[in-house]
Amino acid sequence: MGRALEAVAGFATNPSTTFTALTPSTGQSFTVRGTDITKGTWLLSSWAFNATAGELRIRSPRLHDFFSGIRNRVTANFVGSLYLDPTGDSYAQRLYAQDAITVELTGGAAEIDTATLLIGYEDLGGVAGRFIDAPTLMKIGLNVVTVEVTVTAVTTGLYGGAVAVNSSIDNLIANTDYAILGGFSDTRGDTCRITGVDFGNIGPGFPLEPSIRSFTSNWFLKLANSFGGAWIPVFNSANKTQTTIDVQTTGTGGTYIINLELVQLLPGQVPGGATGAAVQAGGGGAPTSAGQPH
Amino acid sequence: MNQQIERDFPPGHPGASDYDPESPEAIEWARKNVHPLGDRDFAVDHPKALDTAGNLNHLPVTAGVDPLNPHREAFTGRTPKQVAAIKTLSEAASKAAVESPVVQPVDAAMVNRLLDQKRTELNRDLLTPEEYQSVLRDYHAVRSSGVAAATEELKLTTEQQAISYVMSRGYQVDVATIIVQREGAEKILKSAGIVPG
Repeated sequence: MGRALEAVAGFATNPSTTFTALTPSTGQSFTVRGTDITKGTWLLSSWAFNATAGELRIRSPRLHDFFSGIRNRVTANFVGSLYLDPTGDSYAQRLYAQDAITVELTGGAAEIDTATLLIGYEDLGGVAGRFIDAPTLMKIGLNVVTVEVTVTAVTTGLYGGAVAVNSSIDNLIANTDYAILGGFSDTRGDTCRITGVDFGNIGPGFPLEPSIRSFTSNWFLKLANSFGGAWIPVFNSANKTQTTIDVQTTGTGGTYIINLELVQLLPGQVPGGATGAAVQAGGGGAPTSAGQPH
Repeated sequence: MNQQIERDFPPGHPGASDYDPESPEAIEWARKNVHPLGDRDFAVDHPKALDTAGNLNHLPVTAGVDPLNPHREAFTGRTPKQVAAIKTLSEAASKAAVESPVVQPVDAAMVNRLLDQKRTELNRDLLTPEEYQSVLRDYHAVRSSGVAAATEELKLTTEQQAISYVMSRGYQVDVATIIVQREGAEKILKSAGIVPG
């Protein structure tokens, strides 16, 4: 299964009252990637970070309509889910391969405003990212550990300041799989993204809203629960130097202390990863069984 | 040693035998215990009661903000002076920060296999950025050759092509196999206008 999860972020400069098409971050596009059309591609969430209140409009002739589509009010300085909130039960919007989605934003007249679509691919050819579902996490999860990094965002509305997950504190156990539950920061930003070969170099992300830390701290677990699928990204610590965290935000930029909440997994349980035993056995003496309280 | 006096009711209580309605104790007892307007939400003098002097009920409680120190930055609690200083530093850092590099999508399973080969080759688990890059550089070439090999491997034989064609006419695979054996694969493909692959 070629799973992939991509936080496609974009920005609009001085959109004011005019719906302005978002410029996607470098290397990204609001056109859905080419996929096997028999497998689902889903819009799992969307959010925006405006300094001034506005509207986020997502539309396509392939979706409900090209007139107004999915149009939601963006309140100023709050980066919560605007549609498809994975807090509990939710409903994903199906997307179509190669469909160019029009994403527009209104907002302030003298600022960069930003928005993000979180797109999940059930089978994206040539990617095969490593993801697990919630029951698997409950079965093979061992210990909780936090990764804390400092990211300096750029002021252009693009993703910037990428640092490796071990750049601040290098405490991950060698050759061990870790599931990313979510994360948070004490500073508001649009999106925090995690990129690495284990995710097929396509970055999953979550909204950086400090007032809902309890919500974003297990964002991916909530996605997996709400949409009933394997949407929890997994990476191996052997790839820690090449697994990076970056931030996309408005023209204010800023310094972000990001906490990623991870769960150490039993070795060799998630397919498609480093074997964890190329030279040294993985798991750091991990127990051979795991689980959650019953 | 003085003998301790145990009172039946506290001073000022209407039940006390020395009750004097004009005594300070009785007035205080009445203030605390007599509520002509009905049940109170909080006791008299409770910090949250509306008639308690200096209560904080008027202060807005918003996420991340200390109600007693609203001038401090939300979520961090930094003073305005600290915020200004950090803002200056952050602005300078943000101007110097670079956009994240664009990376090409890769097949995680395949790249991880290649990375493990490299690790075994070097007898070391943690690869340097250069070693990573060398694996990713080779990945695209390896992948395209793999795809070509797989395409070749998956190529249908003439007989399989004929069975596939007969099945497309509505026959089950076992019947299609018998028909192809009886009629000959090339004859079937020729009649269908299909060039054998």
